[in-house]
Amino acid sequence: MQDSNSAGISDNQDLPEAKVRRRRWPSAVWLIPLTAALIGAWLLYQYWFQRGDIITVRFPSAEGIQPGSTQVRFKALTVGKVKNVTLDENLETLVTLALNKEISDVLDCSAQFWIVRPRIQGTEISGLGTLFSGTYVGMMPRNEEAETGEDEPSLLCYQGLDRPPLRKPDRPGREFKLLADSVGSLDVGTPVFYKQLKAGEIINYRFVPEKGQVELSIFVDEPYYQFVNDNTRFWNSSGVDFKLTATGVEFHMEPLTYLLTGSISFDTPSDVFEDLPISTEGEQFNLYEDYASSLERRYEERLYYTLYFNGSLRGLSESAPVEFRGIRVGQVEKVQMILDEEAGNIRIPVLVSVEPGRFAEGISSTEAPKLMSRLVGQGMRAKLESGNLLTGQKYVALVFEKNPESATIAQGQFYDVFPTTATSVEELSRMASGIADDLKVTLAEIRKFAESNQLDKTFDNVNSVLEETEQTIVEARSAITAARQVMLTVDEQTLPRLSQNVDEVANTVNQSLTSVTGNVGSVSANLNRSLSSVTGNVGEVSANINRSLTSVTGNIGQVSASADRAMQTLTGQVVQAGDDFTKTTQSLNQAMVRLQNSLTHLDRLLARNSPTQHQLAEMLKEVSAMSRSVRVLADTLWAQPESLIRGKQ
Amino acid sequence: MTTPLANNHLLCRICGCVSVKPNQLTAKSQLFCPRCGERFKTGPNRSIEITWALLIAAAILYIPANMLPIMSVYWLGNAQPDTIISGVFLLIELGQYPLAALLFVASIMVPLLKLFALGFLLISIQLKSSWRPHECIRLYRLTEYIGRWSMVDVFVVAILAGLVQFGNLTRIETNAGTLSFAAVVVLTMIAAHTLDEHLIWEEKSAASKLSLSKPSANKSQG
Repeated sequence: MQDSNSAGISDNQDLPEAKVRRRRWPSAVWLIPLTAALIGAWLLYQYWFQRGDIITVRFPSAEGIQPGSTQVRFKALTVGKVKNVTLDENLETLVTLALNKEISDVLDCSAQFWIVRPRIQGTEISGLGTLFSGTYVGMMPRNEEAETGEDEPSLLCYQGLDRPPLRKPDRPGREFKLLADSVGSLDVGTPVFYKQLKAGEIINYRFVPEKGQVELSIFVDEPYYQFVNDNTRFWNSSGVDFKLTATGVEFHMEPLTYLLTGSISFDTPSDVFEDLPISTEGEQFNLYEDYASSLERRYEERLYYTLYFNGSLRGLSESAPVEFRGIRVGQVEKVQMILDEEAGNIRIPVLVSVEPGRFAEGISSTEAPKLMSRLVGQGMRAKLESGNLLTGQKYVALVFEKNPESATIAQGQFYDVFPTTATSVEELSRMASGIADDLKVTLAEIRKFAESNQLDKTFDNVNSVLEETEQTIVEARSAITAARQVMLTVDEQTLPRLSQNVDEVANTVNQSLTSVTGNVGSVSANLNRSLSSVTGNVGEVSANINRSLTSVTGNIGQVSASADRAMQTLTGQVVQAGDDFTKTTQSLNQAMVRLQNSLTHLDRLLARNSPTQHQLAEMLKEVSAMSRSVRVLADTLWAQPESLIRGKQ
Repeated sequence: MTTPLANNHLLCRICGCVSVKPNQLTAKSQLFCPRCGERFKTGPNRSIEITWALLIAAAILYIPANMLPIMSVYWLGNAQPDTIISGVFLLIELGQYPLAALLFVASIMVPLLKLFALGFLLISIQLKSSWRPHECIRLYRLTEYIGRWSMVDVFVVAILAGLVQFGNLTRIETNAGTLSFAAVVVLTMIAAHTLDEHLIWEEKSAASKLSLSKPSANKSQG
């Protein structure tokens, strides 16, 4: 037991002692909280040190702003958030913004804040993105234009703006100022065009009280501003420029997109001065009303004259041109009526301005009136001319009269009075009215004559004569035609023989008749005698009568015998003649039938329903159609003369 | 087994060498096998140390977990990041009080309570206090049981971020807060696990020499 005990002890003593090492490092498990601490510290660093200022902005209205979710944006980047919305003691909205670190670093007291909402305003639709993203607060951490001290600290309370500040875009380019009489349809954001390319935009406008004009600030982008120099003209190209002037119809249009909103265009005529330096930042230009007026060269020197015209001034509008041989030298400034109390009539002075520089380049202001006087001395007069017959627009022309009455530029009440001369149109109309009067008188005479009976009578006479003539002619013609036939026949055959026979017959008959007459005469004489003795001696008488009668009978028998003979001869001859005549008559008949046929034909031709009539009507229709075609052709040629070459379009 | 080792003998698990435990040992001493150099797993109980480390790490991460957004909801390209507490407020604003309460309890209260409970247990162990060992052990069990439920938040965010991905229309992304929160939950779970609950009882019982009547009395009271 003891052994074993001792052995156990000795075992115990033999056993090696465990090595002891002092732990120098804390347990590795502490790396976990260390890591956690590092991560936590890093996260907190991010959270705390990336957090920027908390500022308050006073806004007129906090419409659409939600605390906690409404963002603050700068150049479309979220740079902060609305923390809170409260009211101050004046019941104004105070919006507390928590900004990012980066933006807080650059924030100074010129920072601007505004609320971006969807805005539809006339020409401009902006902030459409906010329809989806919600209203946000836009900001500008510092305003370069407001030149404040460098190191001014950021404020705690800012005044919010009503709308986004108007500022220069962050693009390369240059800003110029334009002076205009009115803004018109222009607005901030209205594009500026150079050769129909969008070259910039209007960034601001303000009224300049000293000049009574509007100053537009435009920003012209990078490559385009290099084309702006002293010679550049800017004009307002608001939509369609449609103008009826004395020179005709002017039509000028910008791209359709900007028809409604309007736009500004500029151009630099390169023909005048080549090497002008590019205009510097902020240089001032005039904004012309339209393209045409921008092209006009402006002459500062102007002379004003009053013109008195006799005729109507219809069609003469203000700013109508004053031309000399077709070249514009001035314009009509004013047309107004003045009641002349003394003279008791109404006068219409036309005030015109003339630029003498047009006549002589660079003429001095003292020389100019003298020049005009000299020109008037040479016969220059103002004349109202019709510029456009279609629209009736008029203009004032300066012309040299051929044989002028001497006139000078007279001293007027306000302006010098320039001598005028009658308008050519006026002369023309006077002449025309004279002719018209004459014509009227003549026509009256004619009517008087026409209304008198004389003419009626004459016409009746003429009518009857004509009718007769017509009849006669018709008869004559038929007669002639028939006669001709007859004559031909007669001429050829019958006539020579017939006339001979007839002659003979006639002679015989004549002789017979003569003897008959003689016998009859003696008979009657005897009879007379017998009769006279009748009364006394009827018996004798009757015997005598018997005798007489017997002798008479005998005589008569003789006579009749000879008459018979004659008659027989005559009959034979007449029969011959009759044959001939029958032939003649037959051929005459034939001729008549033919004539009748012809007449029937003619009648048929002239009848109302005849084909000829129809054809004639057709033909007339054709002709009228043709004339219509010709008219159309003429119209086409008038409208499009080139269609002769190119064909109708 | 046949020769029971004395209290001061150490057996190496690797080479089977039996060695004698030295007499003078401090808290920072480590014992190694004299033959193979394997470290003996004896010495002062390291459970408390590990638990402390994990607990401190969890406590540190608890701050960013609550201050940083846990997820961002992108609605038409517009990000709306939310922290846990802002989510609670949002739910209150929307009138979803039960949900808000649930979120508050599960995501804010429970991790915090776990931190405090473990801390309290550790401190009481280290002070060898004899204060209410039964309640302490019950607190420990409760802590260990509910710890896993805090992961619900993390899972919800993970599922949402996985499901709601409609490009620019709607999109949910996780933020650093989720990671911190998940780390807090995991760390407290591990801390609860590493804490040797035996120590609670051992230290307390050793210190106070409690009679058996006390726990029975406690039990009847509970």
